[in-house]
Amino acid sequence: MDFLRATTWAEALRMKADRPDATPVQGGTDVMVEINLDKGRPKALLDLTPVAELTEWSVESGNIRIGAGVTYTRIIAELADRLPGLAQASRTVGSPQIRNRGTVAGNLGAASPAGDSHPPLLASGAIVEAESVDGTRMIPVGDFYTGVKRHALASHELIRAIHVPVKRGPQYFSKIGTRNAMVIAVCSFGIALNAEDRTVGTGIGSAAPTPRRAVEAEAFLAGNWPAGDLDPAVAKRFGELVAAAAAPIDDVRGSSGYRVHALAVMARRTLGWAWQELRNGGRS
Amino acid sequence: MTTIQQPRILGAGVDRVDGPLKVTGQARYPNDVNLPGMAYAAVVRSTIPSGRITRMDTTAAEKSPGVLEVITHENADHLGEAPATFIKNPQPPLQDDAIRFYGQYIAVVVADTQQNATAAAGLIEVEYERHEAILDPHDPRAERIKDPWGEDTAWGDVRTALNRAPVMIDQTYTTSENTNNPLGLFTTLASWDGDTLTLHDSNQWPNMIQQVVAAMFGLPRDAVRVLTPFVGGGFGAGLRCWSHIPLAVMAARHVGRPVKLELTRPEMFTGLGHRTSSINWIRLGATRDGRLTAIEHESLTTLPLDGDEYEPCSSVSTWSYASPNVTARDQQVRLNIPWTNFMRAPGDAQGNFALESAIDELAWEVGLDPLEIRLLNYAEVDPKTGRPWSSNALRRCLEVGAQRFGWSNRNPEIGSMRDGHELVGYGVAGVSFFWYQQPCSAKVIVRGDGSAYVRSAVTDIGTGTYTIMAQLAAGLLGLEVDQVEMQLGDSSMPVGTAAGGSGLTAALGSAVHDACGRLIQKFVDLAGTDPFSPLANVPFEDVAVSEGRLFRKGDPTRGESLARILAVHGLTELSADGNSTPNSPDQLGMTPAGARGARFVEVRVDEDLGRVRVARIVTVNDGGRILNEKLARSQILGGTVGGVGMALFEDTVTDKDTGRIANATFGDYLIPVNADIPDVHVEFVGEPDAFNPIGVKGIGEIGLVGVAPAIANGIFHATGKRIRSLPITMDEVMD
Ligand SMILES: Cc1cc2nc3c(=O)[nH]c(=O)nc-3n(C[C@H](O)[C@H](O)[C@H](O)COP(=O)(O)OP(=O)(O)OC[C@H]3O[C@@H](n4cnc5c(N)ncnc54)[C@H](O)[C@@H]3O)c2cc1C
Repeated sequence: MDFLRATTWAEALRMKADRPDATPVQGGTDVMVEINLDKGRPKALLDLTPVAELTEWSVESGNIRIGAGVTYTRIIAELADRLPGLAQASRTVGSPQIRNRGTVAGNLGAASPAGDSHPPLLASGAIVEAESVDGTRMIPVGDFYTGVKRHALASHELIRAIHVPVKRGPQYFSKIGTRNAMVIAVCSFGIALNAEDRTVGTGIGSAAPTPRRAVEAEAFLAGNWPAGDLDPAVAKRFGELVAAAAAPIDDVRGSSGYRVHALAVMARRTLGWAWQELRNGGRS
Repeated sequence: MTTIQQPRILGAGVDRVDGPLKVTGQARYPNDVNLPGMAYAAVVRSTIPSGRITRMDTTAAEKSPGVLEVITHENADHLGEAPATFIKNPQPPLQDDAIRFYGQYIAVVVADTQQNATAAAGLIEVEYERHEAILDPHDPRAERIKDPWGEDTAWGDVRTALNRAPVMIDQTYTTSENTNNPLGLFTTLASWDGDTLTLHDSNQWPNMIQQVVAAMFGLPRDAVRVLTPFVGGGFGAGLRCWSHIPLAVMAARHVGRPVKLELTRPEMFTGLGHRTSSINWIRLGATRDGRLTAIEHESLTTLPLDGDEYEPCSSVSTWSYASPNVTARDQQVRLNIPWTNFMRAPGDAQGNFALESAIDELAWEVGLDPLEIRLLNYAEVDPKTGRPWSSNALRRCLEVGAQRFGWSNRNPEIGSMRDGHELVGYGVAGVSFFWYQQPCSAKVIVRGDGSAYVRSAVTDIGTGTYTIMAQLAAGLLGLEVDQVEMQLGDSSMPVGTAAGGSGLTAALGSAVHDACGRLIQKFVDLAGTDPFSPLANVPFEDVAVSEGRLFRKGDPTRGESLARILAVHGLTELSADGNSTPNSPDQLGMTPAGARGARFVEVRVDEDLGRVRVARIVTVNDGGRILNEKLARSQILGGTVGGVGMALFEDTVTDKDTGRIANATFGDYLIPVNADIPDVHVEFVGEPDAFNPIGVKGIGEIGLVGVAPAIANGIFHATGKRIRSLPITMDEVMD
């Protein structure tokens, strides 16, 4: 196994072009575990941690551009006001040690359907900035996941950053696990309301081969944008449509029936919280 | 003088003496030890559950960098039979081509580094002839063993009593397989010096390892020395001589260098045994007002093809409640699985879940408060023999616990206590733990400066043996705790028993008590030979000890220090040996009672999601005399966490087709994390126990027992849903 260490972004892109078989390492919280458990031996590792520009975030035309090396801990500490959905999801990842190392880019690179950042990224309409020696591609996150643990990156591409729109309304994330922390989601759900456009974003985790939106539920809620109190019938229907968008399996963490049921409950509850915040004029 | 005068029920909560060593990394666990010229071993495990090895190709492994040796059944040393100690030990590995379970050791690779050994181990090619595996306890082809220990028990006439009972509970309760998972990875570092062998080894019983290894390698016992000054937990996993130990010894002999074999976490799941699953059938007969007339408890647990296990689940039903008619029977079934083995509270943990769930069901059936029904059927005396208990404060546990918990605030109606979308439930369970003690010995030595040390070939598996034995000896010799050092973890010390069955404190403590008594006697005798001694004519019975001095009871001025007595007689030290064997119930006319306890739990169930949260736990225990309140509390706390794990998370999953343990990592085998553990209130009640001279009852295991049924009973109160299988999952609660 070769160990490549890039010190600049340009060098990283060149190395990846020369060695498309190299596995990038950011926080290593997925990569190192897989190696330790002997789930395949990468031909080469490409260490991105020395690349300083990856560890920065910036504001660009209403989006936060989060560098691939920004950790969950920093998202929680520095971006919770502007990206509340992503920050809530980040708080549920692993343990302090994992949050100090792990990144959203790594979560995307692993592309596990259970990854916690996916629902808020889907709900808020994030865009993945992929780059190679050939140039930059902007991939809407909904197009990024292509299968179980598969994604849309070409073999010579790397994730440079993730562009996440600054909140334009309440955002909530909910996750069910088999214990209270350090746990892979049985299923998860993210909602983002855009109070200006009266549009709705959703993201479902761990209940289909890939993270996915509940498109019909979004359209239904936008079409029934609640006036005044949240109509329980609307909330119920929203939950049903979210559940209907899922295609879960049975596994050791939970049955498919439970996942469908729980998604409907989480959709109703997060909608309730979001609606409450809207009515409170933006205070949760 | 040696009987403890006015023993306080709660010993001082002295900080553990090994604490500073552990937090500064100076405590050397077996895997921390490195020897010059040491080589490293990696094991290869079978990937079928049943069959035969037809071909093994080790060429690539042998050529792999750094490899010194590859041992398979084709070139392994022929080893002698492993003797049974308290229970059977696995027969020596690599002696034939037979595969009995998935994960059985089939080769060991030795190399200059761990990495090279592990890499080469992955290069060995194996072909098998597969035989059909028996993996399901209900498989009719599986060998069943009835009354495996000759302990099936019956009195009265259960059949008739059940037929006549106005109220009957007839239910099946199941528990899953659990894995001990001590944090420290079990390690054996074997080093030969001619015909003598030294092992740095993770275990709970050095003399057992010594005996078994000596027999397998045809050595006199004295030629084997086992060192275990520290071990990173055990929970029962270190009570047998597992196969990696002879593998390391054999490997060291082959390469002529010390060899370290450290198991990986997945190997810990197959290599050290696990708690058996259990099926418990319980029938209770009762009067309409809730008085028990019959208890019938049968259990079925599992065994590997070639092992044994002492794990009676039904026996709790013979001592927990007063009933005129009782039957308790156990069966075991042999499967192609890794060894089942003791895990914290073996048998009792499962049997108590079944019994305490059934008693709860009976309470609901007859409309009694679950606490009341336990007091109503209280076993004032041993229900089997009618003899008095050596001590039993279960009633006090229940009463004190109820008060601390606020049981009287409970609204008996199901689902009546709600907080938002959470349903609140209160659950209770009683615990009557088994009693166990084995012979043990110790030596106590007083040095010229008046300080002392105690030696015994036992282990401190994190429970506090170092500390409490120093406290005990200090009290008996009239010294300060920091003047006494406990030395242990070396098989060449006076023969010690296992740190198991919650029996070490009574066994070792009684031996220390005996040794201290003999030692004081020696001092008194010595003083008696000195006409100038203030103790010259004082008989032994009239001597008391305090502040490093012997003196006449009631006249502290008339005495002499231990150091001075030694000096006067020109001695650098004086020692005495002590032994203990369990007393005889017949002679004492009493039944030795293990620890007793009560659990009160508040659970909160999300009514839409089935999520169970444990909101608070009150655990009150009778451990007789508690030598160190702080360490005892830690034992109960740790046990409680284990109990929450058993109730809600822990489940060793065996793949139905391959016999492979499918979740053998901490990523997949869930244990509780901090966020799962609420406030736990721990309290001790009771009196010094009358069965041993120091008045203790072991409390290393009881903390775990009763937590699971209290949670399940709380869930019933919250939701009306009776869960009869562990672990309790969200799916089941929602179902
Ligand atoms: C104990 C533990 C608990 C965990 N708990 C959770 C949890 O609760 N929720 C959760 O979602 N995850 C969890 N994880 C998984 C993991 O922490 C996350 O997926 C994390 O986001 C991975 O980030 P990383 O930077 O460590 O990725 P790495 O391990 O470095 O990489 C992950 C993948 O992304 C690729 N990659 C990394 N950087 C790039 C890049 N710039 N361009 C292209 N590909 C790249 C890698 O090649 C690899 O395939 C846990 C892991 C552990 C060990």
